Amino acid sequence: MEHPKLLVVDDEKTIGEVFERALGKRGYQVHAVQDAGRVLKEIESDFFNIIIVDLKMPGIDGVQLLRRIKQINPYIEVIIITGYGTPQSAVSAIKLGAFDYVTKPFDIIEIEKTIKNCLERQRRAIENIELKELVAFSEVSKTITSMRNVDELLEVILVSAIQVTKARRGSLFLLNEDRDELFLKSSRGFRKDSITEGAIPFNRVASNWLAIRGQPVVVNNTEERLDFSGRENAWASFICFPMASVPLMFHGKILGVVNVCQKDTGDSFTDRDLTLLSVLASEAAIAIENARLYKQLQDKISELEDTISRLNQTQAELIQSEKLASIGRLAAGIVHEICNPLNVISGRVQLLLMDAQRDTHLADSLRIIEEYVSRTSRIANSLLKFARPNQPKISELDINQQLQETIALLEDRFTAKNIRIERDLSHSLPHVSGDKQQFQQVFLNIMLNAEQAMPEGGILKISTRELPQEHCIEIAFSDTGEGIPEENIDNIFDPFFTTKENGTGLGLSVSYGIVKMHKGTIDVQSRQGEGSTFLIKLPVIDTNQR
Amino acid sequence: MCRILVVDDEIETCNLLSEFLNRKNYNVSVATDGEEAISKVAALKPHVVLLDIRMPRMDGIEVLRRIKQLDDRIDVVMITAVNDEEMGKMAMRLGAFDYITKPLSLNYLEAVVLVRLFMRGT
Ligand SMILES: Nc1ncnc2c1ncn2[C@@H]1O[C@H](COP(=O)(O)OP(=O)(O)OP(=O)(O)O)[C@@H](O)[C@H]1O
Ligand SMILES: [Mg+2]
Repeated sequence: MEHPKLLVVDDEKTIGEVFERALGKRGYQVHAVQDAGRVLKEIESDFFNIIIVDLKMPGIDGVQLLRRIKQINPYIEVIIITGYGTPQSAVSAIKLGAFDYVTKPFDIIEIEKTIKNCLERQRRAIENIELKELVAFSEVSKTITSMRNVDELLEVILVSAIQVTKARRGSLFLLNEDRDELFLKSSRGFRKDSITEGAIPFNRVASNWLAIRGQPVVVNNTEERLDFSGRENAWASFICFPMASVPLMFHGKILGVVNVCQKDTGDSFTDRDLTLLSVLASEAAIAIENARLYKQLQDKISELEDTISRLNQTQAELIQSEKLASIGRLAAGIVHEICNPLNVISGRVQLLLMDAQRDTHLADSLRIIEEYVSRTSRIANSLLKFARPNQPKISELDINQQLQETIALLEDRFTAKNIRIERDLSHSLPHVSGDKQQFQQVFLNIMLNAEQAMPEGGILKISTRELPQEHCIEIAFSDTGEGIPEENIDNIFDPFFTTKENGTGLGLSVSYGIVKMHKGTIDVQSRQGEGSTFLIKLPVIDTNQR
Repeated sequence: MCRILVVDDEIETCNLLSEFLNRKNYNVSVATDGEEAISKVAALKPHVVLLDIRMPRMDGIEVLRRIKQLDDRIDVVMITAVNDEEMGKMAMRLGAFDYITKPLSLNYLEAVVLVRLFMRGT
């Protein structure tokens, strides 16, 4: 503090003059006023280290004045001038934050000692505060560098910038590289209508001017307009107050600008402010770039994950349908080969039966053989269907109605077996296109499986709903049966996979083939002992194509 | 007496059918491939031909066409594999009288022949 500034306030003009003369010689800048009413105005436009004030002036509430001074700028120290008779009020002033008091008549040596002590205390207080700020500041920068969310990050940067410089307002602009413009990312302390939202053409705002140069700038003297050499001037909201701006730069590239304006204390922005802002800005720029890279990485990773899961999906589907197709081809050959032998066996049995006496052991045996031959041929039959499905008869279908029909077929049977069917069919189910009979077959297979999974009875819940996003409908069959052991889940759609003594293991694989052919999917969720849910998704008819 | 020609590349099928039809007092001949079938149709003038669709070399559909060319009054009943009903229907469009699927129900087979005889009044 080269020349500490003192403001002397006393209604006696001579007192001001005494201070001016005595302290001016000792290196102080002394400004004296007689009117206590001017004190507040003075300290709003200028900074004084110490105000030396007589609180007992006509028409002035000294206590109130002291309070206001401390409110406006807590760093300003106050020394009270008091007469011999009124030490009481001086003591209470000290309680309110005055530093000390001096008594009339003045001993200038004594007074200077007091002033020196006061300045020393002020210096320490300010140092102390700056130290605290630095600690807080380094905390902030640590937080900033570790942040990953750019939006949050920018908020923190702006708020920190305002805090460290004790500004009242601030704004943060980002550069849109593609379009050469800055857009307001965030602001604090401005009235809504005084600041332009959204994108701003490159040469509209002062901070853009800064951004182009990448230089920090302080404007304290608001009279002194910077020369923007012909640029349209949108300083209005900024420049009527002292302000500081620093660019956010990374590797020489400008990412944006942080502006702060109007210090709480009414002070000017100092070099220290600018240094702090610059440090903050460089931390912030690194963090922004990190966050951007991190986001890019995240995007890449999730893109990759997507691709992988899609690949797995298609691969699984490929394996499944390829498996089916090759088994189908194989099956077709085998079926034709066994068709003739079966035919002969069956025919021979029929001939023998014609000869055999009714109700003999021989006739019984032959009938059993006949039954098993025809069962074998049914198996063969279903295999062939599988290999070469009949030409489907495609029509527009209301799946709810199809379900009702299939349910009607089985309901009595289910009731007899203590199985209750619960329906939850969507009232506004869009139609699908497909082969009625094939769908019946699918529903039948699944419902029969459910029946077989609930030998003691249970509930089969059948529900439908639309999945508008996926342009499809979903049919769900939930049973309360034995469930499917985990090790079997992957196999149940395989041809011939069965856990039943008399099963063919074709029900689900045929169903799979049919659903696939209708461009749908079939899936299962099950836990052993808790039941199973079979989910079928079918694409809805595209109304645009009708 | 009604003459029936059984055509199947599987000899045991021929044996089976001729044994059954003989029992039912039809006059049965057999052929085990398409060529033989054509020449026997020409020679024997059967009333009914039971014709397997799946045969090596000349298949049943081709044999059907030739028989119909030879004599359009001969009734041909196609024998198809289990799920070959599409093929059977196609054969009917080509002039087959009916089709039956393997494994054959002998009683049904006879019923088809009887229907044919009834319709033709033979
Ligand atoms: N609702 C279900 N609950 C428990 N297990 C099931 C269910 N549905 C299917 N499974 C299991 O999946 C296997 C395969 O079913 P799939 O319908 O293909 O053949 P299957 O029922 O065994 O024989 P088929 O239906 O030809 O008589 C079944 O054997 C059973 O183990
Ligand atoms: Mg089943």
